[in-house]
Formats: sequence, structure tokens, C-alpha cells
Amino acid sequence: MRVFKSFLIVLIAVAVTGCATTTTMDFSQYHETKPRSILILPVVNDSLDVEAPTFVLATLPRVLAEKGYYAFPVNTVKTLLEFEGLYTPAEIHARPTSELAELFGAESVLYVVIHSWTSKYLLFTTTTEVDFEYTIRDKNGEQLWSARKKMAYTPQNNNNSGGAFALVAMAVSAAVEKAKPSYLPLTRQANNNVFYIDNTRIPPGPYSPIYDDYYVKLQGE
Amino acid sequence: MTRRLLSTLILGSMLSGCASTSLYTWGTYEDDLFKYFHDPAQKELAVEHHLDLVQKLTAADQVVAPGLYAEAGTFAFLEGDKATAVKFYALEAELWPESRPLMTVLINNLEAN
Repeated sequence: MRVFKSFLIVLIAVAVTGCATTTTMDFSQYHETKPRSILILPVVNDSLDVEAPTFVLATLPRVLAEKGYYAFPVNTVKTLLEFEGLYTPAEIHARPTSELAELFGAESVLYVVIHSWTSKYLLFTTTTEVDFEYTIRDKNGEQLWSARKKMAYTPQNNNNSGGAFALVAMAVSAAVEKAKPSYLPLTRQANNNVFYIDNTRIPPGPYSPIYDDYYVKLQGE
Repeated sequence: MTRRLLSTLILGSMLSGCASTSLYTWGTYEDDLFKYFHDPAQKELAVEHHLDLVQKLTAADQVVAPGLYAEAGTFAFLEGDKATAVKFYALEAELWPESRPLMTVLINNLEAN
């Protein structure tokens, strides 16, 4: 009975906090800066997949705009940087933040580095993994926020018939995952986690319906 | 009775959790960008899609998400259509004050050349 009771308490606690986790990150600098806009730079790619950085780049504007920020148009930014002679993400990330922020009139800048983007195929399983590092700097280059997220996916088989058929089923789903790895769902999940769910989740932007409440509450604390 | 209320509350808050309603309509923006970056055969179609999206949203009087007018402007500019590019950059600037410094520079450059 006691076990049941404590279980219920835990359940209620989880329900009340929803997806919120306790905040341990220091947001004081972020709260002071209150950036209205975020410049999303082309993504640096440490993986071997040439498509990875543009896939990640394309998933970011929506996440940040839905959070209430003005997210700079990623293809327009990429095109203009190329006109400035900056073609590779690595050389763009190496420029002073202040210079990039001024070029676009941005109040903050988001840097993303892909550490891993792989799909490992073993006989009966395929595991797809992504590992990203995110950093937001203010227009003067001071770091406001950062997060690192690794996500992995291995298709599971619920085939309980056993024997040869189960092995065939496993091999098939591993092959399917190999042919079309779940990079995008994993990328979306990683973005979603760091910006919305984990204790790294960023404060709402000025176009969020909860923006005013958020900062009023913060002042009351 | 209280129990029922409590469990309803729990269920409710669990369901709502971190779910939030969308601020904007994105259509196939992400997908169009992938195609634009990686599939030369579908590049034109992706651009067409994007122009369709912003036109539909504008006609329906919906708020066009940050950056979408600007992307339409850049697509037009890259196709050599400066007048359309200026038009879209101006719409972006009007709707999103944060974009004004950049849009002003782009419009001035296009109008000077």
C-alpha cells in the first residue's frame, strides 16, 4: 500500500510538472539580453554525410519561430554569406560573432555543430545516431546558452513467434532502417528536446503568447 | 468524486504537458528546403511550392511565419526577378521589425543596381 501511495505521489508530481524538468541551467545572461531575433548560421558538419548540415539547418527556423523568436531565413542567410565570400560553415563559425550579427542586424546567433550522424548496420540491427551541439551567443559574442544532444534509434521487433521468421523480420526492419535511416525524426527530436523540454529549454521569444507572463514572473522571483 | 476529479486533472495535465499550439502555418517549408539543397531535379518545384505557400497565406490573411517572405524574395532574386524580390523583402520588413535592417540593405542594393 505504501509503495502504491508513493507511486501515486510520483505520478502526480510528474503530471503536475508535465514535461518540465527542474532548471539547473544559468539563464541570467539570457534573461538580461532577452534577444528578439536569432540568426541561424550554416551548420558545421563533423560527420561524413554531406547532406546532414542542410537537413539540420532546414529544421531549425520552425523550432525557434514557434518558440516566439524572429528566426532569420536560413537560405537567405546562406546565400548572402556566399556573396560575402563565406562558403564553408567552418569559416563562417570562425568569424567574430559581432561581425556576423552586425551584417544581419541580429540580436543573437545560433551555432550548431554535428558531431555524429551515422547509421550502423549489424546483421540483425541497424542503429541510427545523431549528436548535435548548440550554442547561442549574443551580438557581442558572449555565450548565452548551450546544449549538447545525442539521440539514437534502433528499430524494435515485437515479433514473438520466434524461430526463423523472427530473424527474417529483424533483418528486414534493420535493412529498412539502413536504406532509409531515421535522421530527420531524430533531428527533430533532438531540437525539440533541447529547445522545449530538457532543462536547457530556452525562454519564450517576444512573439510567444507567454512571453510577458514569463518575464513578469521572473521579476517577482 | 474527488478522486475522479483528481484523475481527470492528472490526465488533463499529462495530455497537455508541453504541447503547444502552432503560431504559424509552415506548409512544406522544410521539405522544400531539403529539395532545394539536395535535389536539382526538384529545385524549381520547391521554389514554386514556397511561392504558393506565401501567396496562399497572404490571401487567407494569415500571419506569414518569420523569414518566409524573405526566402521567397531570395528565390526570386536568384532567378533574376529583382522586382519580385524587392516586393517580398518589403513584405518581410513590414511584418517583422527585427528583419528591417537586413531587408533595407537588400532592397537598397537591388534598387541601386
